[in-house]
Amino acid sequence: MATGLQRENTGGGEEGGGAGRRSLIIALGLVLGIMIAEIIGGLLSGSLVLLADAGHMLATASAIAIALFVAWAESRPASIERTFGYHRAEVVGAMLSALALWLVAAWVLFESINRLRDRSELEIEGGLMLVIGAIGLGVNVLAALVLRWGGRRSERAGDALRHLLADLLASVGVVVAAVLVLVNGWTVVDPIVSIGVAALTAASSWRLILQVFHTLLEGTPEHIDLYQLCADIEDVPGVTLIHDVHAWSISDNNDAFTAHVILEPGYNGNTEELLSNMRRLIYEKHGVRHLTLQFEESASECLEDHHLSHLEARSRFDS
Amino acid sequence: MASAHRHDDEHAGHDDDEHAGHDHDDHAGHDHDAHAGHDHDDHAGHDHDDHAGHDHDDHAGHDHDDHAGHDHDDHAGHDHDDHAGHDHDDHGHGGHDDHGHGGHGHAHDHAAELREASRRSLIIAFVLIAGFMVAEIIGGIMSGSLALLADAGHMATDAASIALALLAVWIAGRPESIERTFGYQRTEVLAAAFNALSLWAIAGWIVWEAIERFVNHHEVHIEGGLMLIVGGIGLLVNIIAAFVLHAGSKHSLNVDGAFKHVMADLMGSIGVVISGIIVLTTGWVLIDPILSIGIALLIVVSSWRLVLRSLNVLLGGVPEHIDLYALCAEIEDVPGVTLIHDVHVFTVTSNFDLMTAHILVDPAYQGYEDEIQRQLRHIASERYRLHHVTFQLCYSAGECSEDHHVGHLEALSRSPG
Repeated sequence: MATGLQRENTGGGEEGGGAGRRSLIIALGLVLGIMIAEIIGGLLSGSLVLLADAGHMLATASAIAIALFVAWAESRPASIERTFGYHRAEVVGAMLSALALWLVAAWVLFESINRLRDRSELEIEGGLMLVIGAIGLGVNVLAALVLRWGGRRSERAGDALRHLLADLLASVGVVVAAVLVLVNGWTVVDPIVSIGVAALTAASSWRLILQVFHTLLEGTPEHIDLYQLCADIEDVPGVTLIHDVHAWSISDNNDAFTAHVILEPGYNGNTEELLSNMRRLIYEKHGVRHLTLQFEESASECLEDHHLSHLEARSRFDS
Repeated sequence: MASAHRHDDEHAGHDDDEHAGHDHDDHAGHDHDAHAGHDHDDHAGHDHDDHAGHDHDDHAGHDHDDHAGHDHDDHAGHDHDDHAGHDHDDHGHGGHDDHGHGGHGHAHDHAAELREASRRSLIIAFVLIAGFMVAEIIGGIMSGSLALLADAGHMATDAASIALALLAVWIAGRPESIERTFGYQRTEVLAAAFNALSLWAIAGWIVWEAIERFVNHHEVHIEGGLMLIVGGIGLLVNIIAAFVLHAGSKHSLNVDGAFKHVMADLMGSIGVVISGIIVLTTGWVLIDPILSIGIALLIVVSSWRLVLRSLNVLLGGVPEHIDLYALCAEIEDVPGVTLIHDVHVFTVTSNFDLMTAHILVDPAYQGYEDEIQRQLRHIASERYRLHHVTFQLCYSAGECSEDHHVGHLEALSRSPG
């Protein structure tokens, strides 16, 4: 009972719209600003790790941009070309940003190996590196806090903490490398730490890409127990069998469910009432709001051969 | 509307006939009820042909062994459907008379056939290009030519894109599960999107390189003769591979992704040959970066549509070939249908489109739902080639309170016509 309502409250995204949006825009501005500073600083000082951290900043920037986009997408109506509206754009945007991050990480890795092989040209201005690195660390902390408070509530606490630690680790790496370059003159630290930052960048997007793939493959949303949902529908009086079951998530907190439901032969009750009972059951117990249920008198009418039979699924589940 | 019932009876009758047909012939003496309990439709198709004259004991034993465990329970609603599609195509003489059925069976087999055809053309193209690449590597190492090795690296991106497309075809064939009710079919679209986007990255890299060559063009040195020969053979290999992939690229986004990579390489090879000739005859080395930038632009332009189409699929957009206005209008012309709303049409993978809609029905037609469903199904599957449909019939719109509707009427009002 609670799940549906709870999701309703956390998923609406309407409350705190204006304030949340403003803090997100501020955070995006901060992050983009320091990112550009890091790129310029990296080119001027000759420090690769500043460039690598700029790449990592891109991850934060795209997360904020996506959160902003979601707020905008929720206000856009569906259209005849885009019957689900723009909700999916969030997922596709996450995929594109993850791919971009991998590209950046690959470039940094490539460049670090190049610099490690030819160490004679490693000349780094440690002072500039330290200043920009320290500012980057500060901005990262600030942006991370704004981001956790302002938006992305759908993210679980564990993930949020992991992201925060990864962001901090990269920035701390820059500062440490800068100190070592400045004090000891160990320029070789720069490409080595860069490899670490690149690995961190790729790793932090790994979980994201797994989730994105699951969604884009139209996988069943993790919080829906499809066995239980099917069993619940089959327990409704008048229902013989449910089949051709599909559940997928259009975007975060926005799930769809379709199924073909076979009624008892000669069922002469009120199908309208049956439908509204099922709607309530599915929404209140499983939190799915968008559904399309096709009632049938016999299965012979529907010959799609890519069915997922519920019973087949259950028999595999039990064994 | 009497036809609805007649049709139903006919249908029920036809099922019985089918079983009766072989049950009686092949299984005389077998307990009829028990038989009906598990294997009747599973074997409808091939029993007819393969076991027509077979010994009764053999047949019975075979059915029991193979299908005892899981068919027992879930058979009624499901296995029946699963196999019907195949039965139709393999046994066109089986006597199924419903148009809707034939449509589904054909459509799905068509998709499976196309996937198989994609697989075949991708394998041929892969063998061609990977084979040439290996030859270049061996030749490069033996002769010490960097140009050969560089071109082998070039071919490697092609081979990788084809390998990715093949991998996607392979994964897409895996069965669906409760965690993934559509299976892995979308991997084909993801591979297409990845291949298309990687082309843009390659184009960006080419432009970057070209600009560098502009800035320090004294560094440009082209091994004219050898490059010309390698470029020429590479061109030939790419042309053959492009031919192999061309047919499939029209039907499958996935094959199109690999095809666009081969085409990009083909354009690259032409560029190498042209700039080789110009450098040899006039010595004008700047032609190389100029041509490179031109080719990069061509790559972006030629893959533009592929990027848009694959992203449209991933965004859940309506497939290009479906006119949703016309489809909605046709559905509303079905007797008994008042209004269609909450319409969603999207593509799972190439040749597999899905539709869901809520249909408001005139309460006077209560009791004729099956006939209405049949007509809707006919429109969707026969006329619009939609391979999976779910229609929810309701008698009052108050029941359908989803707030993300595409109201058909709203859509119509925006329609140009």
